[in-house]
Amino acid sequence: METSEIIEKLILIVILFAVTLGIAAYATYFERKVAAWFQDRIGPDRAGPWGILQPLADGGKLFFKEDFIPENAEKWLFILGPGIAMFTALMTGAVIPWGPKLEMLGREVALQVAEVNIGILYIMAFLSIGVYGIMIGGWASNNKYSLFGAIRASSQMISYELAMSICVITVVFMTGSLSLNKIVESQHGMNWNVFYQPVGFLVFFICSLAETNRSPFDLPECESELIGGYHTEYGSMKMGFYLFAEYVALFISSAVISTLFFGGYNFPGMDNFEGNTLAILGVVAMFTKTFFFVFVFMWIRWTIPRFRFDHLMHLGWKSLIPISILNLLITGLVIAYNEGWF
Amino acid sequence: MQNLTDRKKVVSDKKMTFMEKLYFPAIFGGMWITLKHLFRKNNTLKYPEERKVFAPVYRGMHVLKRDEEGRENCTACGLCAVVCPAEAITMVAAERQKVKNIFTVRKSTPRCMRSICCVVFSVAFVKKLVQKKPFS
Repeated sequence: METSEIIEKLILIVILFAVTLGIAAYATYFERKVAAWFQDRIGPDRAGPWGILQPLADGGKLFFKEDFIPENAEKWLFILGPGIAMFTALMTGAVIPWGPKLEMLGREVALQVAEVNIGILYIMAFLSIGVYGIMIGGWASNNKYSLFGAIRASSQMISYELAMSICVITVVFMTGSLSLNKIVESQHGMNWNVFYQPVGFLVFFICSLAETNRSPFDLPECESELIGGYHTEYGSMKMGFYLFAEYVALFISSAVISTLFFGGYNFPGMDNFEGNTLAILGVVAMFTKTFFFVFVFMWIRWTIPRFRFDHLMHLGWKSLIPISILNLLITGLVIAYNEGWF
Repeated sequence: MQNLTDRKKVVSDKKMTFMEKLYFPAIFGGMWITLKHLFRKNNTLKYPEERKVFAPVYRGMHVLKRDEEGRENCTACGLCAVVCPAEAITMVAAERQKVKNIFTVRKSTPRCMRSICCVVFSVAFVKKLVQKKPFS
């Protein structure tokens, strides 16, 4: 690898890191604002104009809290838990193509940190490692509420990952590639996957609600019955990491949804633009779609009440998995027919 | 029996139809309702800057009134304690110390439900016993 390429990738990594963290911080602010708007309130408005300094105030507060480790906790695992949660949440963004290639200083810069040709597998892998942070943290705090949260998180993750992966396979069927770049390129213009795979999109969306532990599937951390679930015993920035990782995961899964089903950086009428204009408009389109899904996630959180745990399992195993397998079979048959197999 | 509201709904235990089992109509209905609230005017009163304007009949807190010389108007007749539906008032009568504090009316506030029966009832017998005061 040339030095210039390494520098380019480093800059991209730093930008992605900063953007992801910044968006996650402001997602906490907008979560509260959106909740307030849905409930005819104003929301945080004291820190700075319209309360835009609220995330900074929250972060500062969390840093100055006492960093407490319970007496009977497994010390190293207790520290490791939030670290893993944060690490996996941040790593997932690396393979997402954020825009078309940008021309800069006579070089073509791909707006993607790592061009992995099995990008979607990488995302699925890191999403499933994410539950280890919750499991380890919940188990290590030596508290029955935390343990309940951890157990729920892991069983929920296992149940919903199956349906999610099958929906991803249907998209891979359509494209014929595991690379996220190819998947996005195949949805050129308005040719988005959601129009061919509405059922797949719906199942994938429900599963990603469950994967990010968002309401109505927030059983691992339901405040009302488990007192915060897996992070009951956590305080200070360790809890901050868990909450932050949740919002990073929210942002990343919105980005994955828009990449897989809503054409990523593609937008209608993109053939009229070229070069850097196209790249910038593509990035804008990508972020618009992502923010829209972040909003939908919040909208759902403040509308739909939590599922009961057995309902959650029934929905996962008895409805979503059969539906997604059926969807996969039909997609396969249609593709085989179009290819002239029979 | 006469209905108290027009929003009464009869709950039935019938089996859900296929459309109801899908949940989607109900979920989209709920999301439509919350979306309508998104564009509604908020009801927030920004407390330290804005104050609520109280109606003249506002009940507020109970405060024992005193006369010009600083003595309480209460005569410890005990009618307020008798009439109180929540039994929140205990009357402890004591002799006047110096000029002030003739009697003490003690209210155990957690049980008080602000029905001001004590005010309404006692005022009929002893004029100007208590007065109203807003919370801030």
